[in-house]
Amino acid sequence: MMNTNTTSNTGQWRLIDGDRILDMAMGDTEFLAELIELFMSTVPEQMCEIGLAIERKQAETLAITAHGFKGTVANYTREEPFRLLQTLEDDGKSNQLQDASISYAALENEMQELISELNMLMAQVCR
Amino acid sequence: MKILVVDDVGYTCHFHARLIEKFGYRCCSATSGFEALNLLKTDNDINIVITDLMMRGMDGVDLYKEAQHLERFTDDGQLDPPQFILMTALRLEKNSNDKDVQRLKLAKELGIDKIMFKPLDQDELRETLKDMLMGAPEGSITSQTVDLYTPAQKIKDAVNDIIESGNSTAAEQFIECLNGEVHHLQEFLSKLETVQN
Repeated sequence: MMNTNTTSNTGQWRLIDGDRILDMAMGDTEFLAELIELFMSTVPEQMCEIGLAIERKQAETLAITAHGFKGTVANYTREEPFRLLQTLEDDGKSNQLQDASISYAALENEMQELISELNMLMAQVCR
Repeated sequence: MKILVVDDVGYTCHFHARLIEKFGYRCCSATSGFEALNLLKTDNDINIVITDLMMRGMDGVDLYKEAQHLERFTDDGQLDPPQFILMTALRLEKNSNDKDVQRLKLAKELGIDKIMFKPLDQDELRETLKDMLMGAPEGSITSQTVDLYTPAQKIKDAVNDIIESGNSTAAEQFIECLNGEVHHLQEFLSKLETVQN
């Protein structure tokens, strides 16, 4: 699942849509930086909550936490991180956690990639 | 006039609150249904609530129901309940046995003013807020003019939704609900007639 290549055949980014993210911040780069920094600051805690729910086999907590984080991540990407969170949410709802740790490991890699792309986007537009 | 944003995910709550401020509106926020309810009790300026559906503790639907029973007064009289926008990342057509989807369906049946899907379309949100605030009175509602077009339209939309869903239980519940409200109106008219005579 790990992908170190940040570019794609269709554009500069593999996960994010830079124009859509700029639109989300209404073209205001300061607002964009504020949002991205806030997002990045929440990622460790959200990932930790999801990881703990899987470790403790708390299906309902996993469903709720993954759903909440999915809503946040959807602001930046509808690609693999979003899909993995959807999978984890579904796993939690159906109380089928046997593959959840595999999805979680993939999500960790994808989130690193997402943060990396967002850092690059900020470096480009928030100078 | 003030807009209350409610979401138990801190980032999402902050993002939507800041977005609404950037639209030019006054805004406050709460990270739970209970906190939102307390704010509604103490801040009479709040006339629109934008809430997430799925929240720990009190969800968006329960918050809506509680808010309908709140008694808020100003010097000019009693305030109407705030208007509600319900946000969700769920989709109605998917997995209809899911309990969260059932909550979303209930929200529609209860007549929540607007349901929007995450990530929110900013233009749609801006337009919705503009429309809601245009229809909302500056201070309190006492008597005077009443907007009948919007609620009548909502009833029609709800009926269409029920018919499209093919849900006979919802149809029966809605008819029961409408009959109850018709009865209230008839009582009101009877009392008026008695007073006038």
